[in-house]
Amino acid sequence: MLSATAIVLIVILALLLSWLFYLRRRPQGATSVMAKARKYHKWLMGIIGIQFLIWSISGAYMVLVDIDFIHGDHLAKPADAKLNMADVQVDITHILAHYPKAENITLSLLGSLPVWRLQLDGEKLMVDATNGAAMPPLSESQAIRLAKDLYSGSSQVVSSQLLIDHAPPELSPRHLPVWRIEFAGMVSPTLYITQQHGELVTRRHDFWRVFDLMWKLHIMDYDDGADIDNWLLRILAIVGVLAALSGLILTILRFAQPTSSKGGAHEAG
Amino acid sequence: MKLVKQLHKWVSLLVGLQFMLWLISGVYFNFMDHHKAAGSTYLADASEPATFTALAPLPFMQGVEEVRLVQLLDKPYYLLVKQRPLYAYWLGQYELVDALTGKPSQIDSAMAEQLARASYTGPGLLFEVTLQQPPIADLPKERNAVWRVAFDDDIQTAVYVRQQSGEIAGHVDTHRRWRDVFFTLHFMDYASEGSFNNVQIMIMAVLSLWLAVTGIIWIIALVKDGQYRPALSQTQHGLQLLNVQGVPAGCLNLDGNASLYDGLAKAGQLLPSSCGGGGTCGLCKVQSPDAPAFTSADAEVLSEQELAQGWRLACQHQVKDFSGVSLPAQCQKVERHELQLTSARFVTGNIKELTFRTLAGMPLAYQAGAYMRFDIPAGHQPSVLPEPVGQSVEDNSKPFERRACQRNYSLAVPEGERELVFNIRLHCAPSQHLPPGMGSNYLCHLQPGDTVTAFGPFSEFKMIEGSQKPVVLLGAGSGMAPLRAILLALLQQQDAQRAVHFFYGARCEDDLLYYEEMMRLSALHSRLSYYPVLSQPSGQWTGATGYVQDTLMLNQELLGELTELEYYLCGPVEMMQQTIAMLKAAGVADEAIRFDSFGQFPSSGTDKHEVKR
Repeated sequence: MLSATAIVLIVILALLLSWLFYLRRRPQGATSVMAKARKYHKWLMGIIGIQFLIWSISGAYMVLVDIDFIHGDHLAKPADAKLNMADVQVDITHILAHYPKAENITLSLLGSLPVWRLQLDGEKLMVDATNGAAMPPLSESQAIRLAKDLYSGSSQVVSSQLLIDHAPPELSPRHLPVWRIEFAGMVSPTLYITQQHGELVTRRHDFWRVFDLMWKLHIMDYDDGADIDNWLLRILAIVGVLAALSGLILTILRFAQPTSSKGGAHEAG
Repeated sequence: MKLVKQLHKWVSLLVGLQFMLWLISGVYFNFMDHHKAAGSTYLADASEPATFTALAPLPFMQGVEEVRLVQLLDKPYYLLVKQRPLYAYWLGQYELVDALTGKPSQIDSAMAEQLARASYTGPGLLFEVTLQQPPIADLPKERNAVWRVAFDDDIQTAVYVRQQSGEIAGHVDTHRRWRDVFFTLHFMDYASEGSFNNVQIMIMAVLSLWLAVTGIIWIIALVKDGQYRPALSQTQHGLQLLNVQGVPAGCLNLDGNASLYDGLAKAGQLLPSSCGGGGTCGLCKVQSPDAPAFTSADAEVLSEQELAQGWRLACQHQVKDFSGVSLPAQCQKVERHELQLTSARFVTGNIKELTFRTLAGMPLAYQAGAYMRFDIPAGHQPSVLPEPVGQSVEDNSKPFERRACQRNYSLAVPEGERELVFNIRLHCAPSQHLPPGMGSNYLCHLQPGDTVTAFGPFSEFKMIEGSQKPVVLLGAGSGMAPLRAILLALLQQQDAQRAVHFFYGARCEDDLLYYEEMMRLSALHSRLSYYPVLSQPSGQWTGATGYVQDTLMLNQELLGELTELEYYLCGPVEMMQQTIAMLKAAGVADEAIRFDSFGQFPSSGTDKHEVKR
């Protein structure tokens, strides 16, 4: 499919070049086309040029800063601790017997404690796998301790907050309720840990927050950053194509100018 | 500012195409159907989370980070996660255990096919099942081995099932492949890394940032220079054209709000420009006695002296800022006009008078004696036959091929007339095997209403500026045209008492071009003396006979001191050669003799090609 597109692009380029070749034979034709292109470019860019600047700045930020860094993968230590089956005293049969309606059942670690995590009627529940007791939601101190364990940096916690009903734009509301633990640092590193399951659901730092802003600017969504098909963007993108195309024609003509094309000299006195 | 413009131009060369690709792919993302583009056309809804009873106990296991109870094809499995990836498409390590039997299980091709079918709602039949290792063309981000289950539906859906876990890695169909093509273009991800952090896009992004920043700076400079004045309405503005000497040479009625460059271009006066009005090439400069304040673009390409002399870039100012402009001499050569024939008649047996007007409807600026260059297109036409005066001749000659060329013809009227008159001497085929004159046959074949393209006028043969000396015009045949223009121009100068002597040679009475007009003019203007000279007169002819140049020498006493006159010659080469030799022998200075040649001077014999007339 890429090769088909490449062929189409080559054909378009060939058409453009042959048109150019045709214009070269009529130098005045080239000049008047160029004058038109110049005018369109000037006016269209005069109107929407600022959006091109915004596209360029936001685009440059997004491509220059590594996306894995943006995603804050480095903010948390890799969670690769293994389960010790000797600690798991409560088998799945016990869980199923006690919670027959349980869904999405997993066995994993909370810190070093093996736990069963499950969903019951849409509610999250965690069961201690060493004794089968249902665990209460994370307290603030538990959440902070867990966050410190997960955090790869060494800075102090500057704030902790339990988000119950309202999620900030950087957190999906489906994870609520969530502990928001922010650490000290230039980029305000923040970990989000679910209250019921003690799971790290997302992390943020200012580079990601800037990325989110850049993304919104790039797709001209000044609302929530979810639509990339808003009409403002559609109109701007189409006008932008015309504005840039006139510029491209201008560039091609400017660089492919016949060396000299000024009238002919009269051959007789 | 000049650097900014240069940067903008060069950077645009480097990123221009990618810029277009970004925009076009951006427009595509805007208008695509997101559901389809995600490959979800034939994606089944996720099955309801299942609940289970009576499962086998967990097996003994080591090195496991997490155990998930999952459901594959309505059967429970333990998914042992030995290495949990940050994102599902990153490389993970999993094992499956049948949760009913407690026995290890594997996703084989049959199971992959069933899993794929369960997530597929399309009409396609199974086409093939293959195991693929990353990199996978359809899934550039995927780092796990996957089963590719292809269906033969209308959009070539392929369902990818992760080999270790049995998870559906995705549906990929034509819609999604197109989206991915545009993603590849938008992200310049030509190495299919599934990422936009590649070196090539970083370079392009930095360059486009330059393009945008320089563009914005340019816009700001344009705003400052008042270049963003919208021309919402048209206002007519009379613009006086001045010739190189600053003498008024016609008036144009232009839209006052247009740029001077555009206005002149619209009027057919295309100034040279290699930047198309960007104010960077400096070629469209014009001089004006009342030039407006210069802009930053003017100051960049014009010298201080030029600015002080009233030179400005036509593209940087509006028409209404000027009352008169003087165009550079060389650009008067590139003027192009569409001329429409209004009348045509044979004025002698083989000279046809063609009268044109410009389609643009405005008089042209030139000096008497000027010529225009006609575009003769390639074509196919019968020869035009000369017309003995008073009787028409049936055109029965063989058609001939005409190749494209250009031919020069002098204007037979001075500046200021609405009508442009030319005398075209018809060149007949010298023999049956040779074609006739291309230009003259084409032009003489035109019918009133036909249009032709002409360039000019080119004022090369013209009167000596500022002179009041008596004038001798000497010519023969269609050499009449520029001399007649000069003659009429001289006679238009009402107050001048300048004597004009016109010697005109022809073969016989019928070949005397504009005879009646000349007789009438000489009767009207005592300062005009007209000397028709015939080389082969009829018996009734009482005027001068022989060669025209000889008649000039014979009438020296009527002219006065030869060295006190100025001479304008146009006609056959031999005639002019001999005249020039005679005048020089009489002590006339070179500067006092001007001639318009239509052969290659001083070679003898008329050229087979008609260079002029």
